[in-house]
Amino acid sequence: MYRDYRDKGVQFFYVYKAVEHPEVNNFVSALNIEERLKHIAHAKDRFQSEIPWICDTMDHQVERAFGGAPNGGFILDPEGRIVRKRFWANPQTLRADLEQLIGKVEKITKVEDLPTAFIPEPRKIASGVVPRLPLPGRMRPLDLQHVPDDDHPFFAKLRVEGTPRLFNTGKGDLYFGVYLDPLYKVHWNNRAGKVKLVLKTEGNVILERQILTSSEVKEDADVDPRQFLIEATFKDQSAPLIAFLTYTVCDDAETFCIELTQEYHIYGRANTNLGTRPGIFLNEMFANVRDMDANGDGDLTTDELPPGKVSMYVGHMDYNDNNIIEKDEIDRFCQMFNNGRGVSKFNDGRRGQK
Amino acid sequence: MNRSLKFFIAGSLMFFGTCATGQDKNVELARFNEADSDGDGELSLLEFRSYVEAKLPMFEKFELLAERLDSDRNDTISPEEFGRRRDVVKEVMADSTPEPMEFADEFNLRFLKQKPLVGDTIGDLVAFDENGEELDFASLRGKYTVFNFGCLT
Repeated sequence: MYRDYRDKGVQFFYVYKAVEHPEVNNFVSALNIEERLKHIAHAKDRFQSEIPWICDTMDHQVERAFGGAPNGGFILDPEGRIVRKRFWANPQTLRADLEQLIGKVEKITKVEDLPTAFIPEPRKIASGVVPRLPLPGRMRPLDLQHVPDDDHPFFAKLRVEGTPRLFNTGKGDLYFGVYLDPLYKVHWNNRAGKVKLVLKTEGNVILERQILTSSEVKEDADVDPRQFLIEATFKDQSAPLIAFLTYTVCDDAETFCIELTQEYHIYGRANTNLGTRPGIFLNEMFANVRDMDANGDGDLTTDELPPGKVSMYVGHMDYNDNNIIEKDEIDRFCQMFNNGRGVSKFNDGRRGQK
Repeated sequence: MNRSLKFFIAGSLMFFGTCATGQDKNVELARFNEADSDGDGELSLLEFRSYVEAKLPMFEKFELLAERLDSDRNDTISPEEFGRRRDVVKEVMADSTPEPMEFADEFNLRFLKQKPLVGDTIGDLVAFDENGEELDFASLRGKYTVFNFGCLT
């Protein structure tokens, strides 16, 4: 579309608003603009795309100004007025809109005309060696603020989630996930020490445990998340639970190893800007996708997809735009999730749901 | 008509038509009088429309309802015709073939009614370009501009 309309007075922008689904392709939420810009650079490289990007402010001003749609699409006229808006944009409607506003193009650019996406080489550090914690379903992230560290980036990042009961009643399961940020190409140094999370509260939160320490890992190094699940009661959602995260990482090039302690403030309220892990939304949106193959030929045609959700499945999985979701497209889609460890791990995650 | 809309109308119908199925004629009369704003003993189509819109705000087939209720074709709704409204609403709803709306279309329709609306101008807004330089949205004017907010991860 960009190639078809860029010379016809149309400019295109991707808008980076947040990492919508942390863990997909190993990404974790950025803590500052610099990390977001690194994500953008990675995406441009990965997709070999010429489309320019706009990076939203950390307080989501752009997202809010445009109504907060997760997969939104907008066309503004030359005076800056909205002439088309979609909550869930897709290429077909965008092309139809542009044809209406600008006119049809003589030759439509096809996927095969575009540069091949760059697939980075997998890292050589061990992954998939620390068993994933089975987590309750429908967890949502808690509001979390990091205390900036002037000397070091947050090589490892904390993600805290709660069950619906926690948000509704103040009491429920509290999940702490400690994820290495792939932007920094670092790994855990398991010989130097375990990941440790010390939680401090001034009586506003009752915790099952206040010191959480990761398990022993046989490998000297790995990149798997460290996970903890405890029961907690938030008496006051406005008072923070303070977390000190201590960890030791080395960079993959082996130029440094460092032990750090970094601080977070956690509030007992949900934060909708922090996205949902694939273990949650995949189960809700794409579970049993293979079971839909009524005739057993391995592919999914639109008549095999659930009424009302055809565009969702086709939009997400039909990479070659032929309105059929082929077996390799299902594999490719599922492969994106769970740190790239694929479908079997995804299924394990489903069994882990309560 | 999507499922949530049907659910809403079915729920509203309980309120809309309670009196019609009940035995209390006084309640039924009170409903009619509530709709009969000029007190002339019959409902103009405008009065009836106002009543339906107030009681069933998401009911979209008023014309069909009025046509089926107005059996004497005099463009007014008599108390007797008014008394049949609940059954006719049910008939009209049953006649409408439920067509599952694509989830994206459903969200898009809802989103169209939320701000910013089509025709609105995006006001002063400053973000960053991909090099980290401040980018003023006003500087993008002069061309059609497509913004894609899709989740890439």
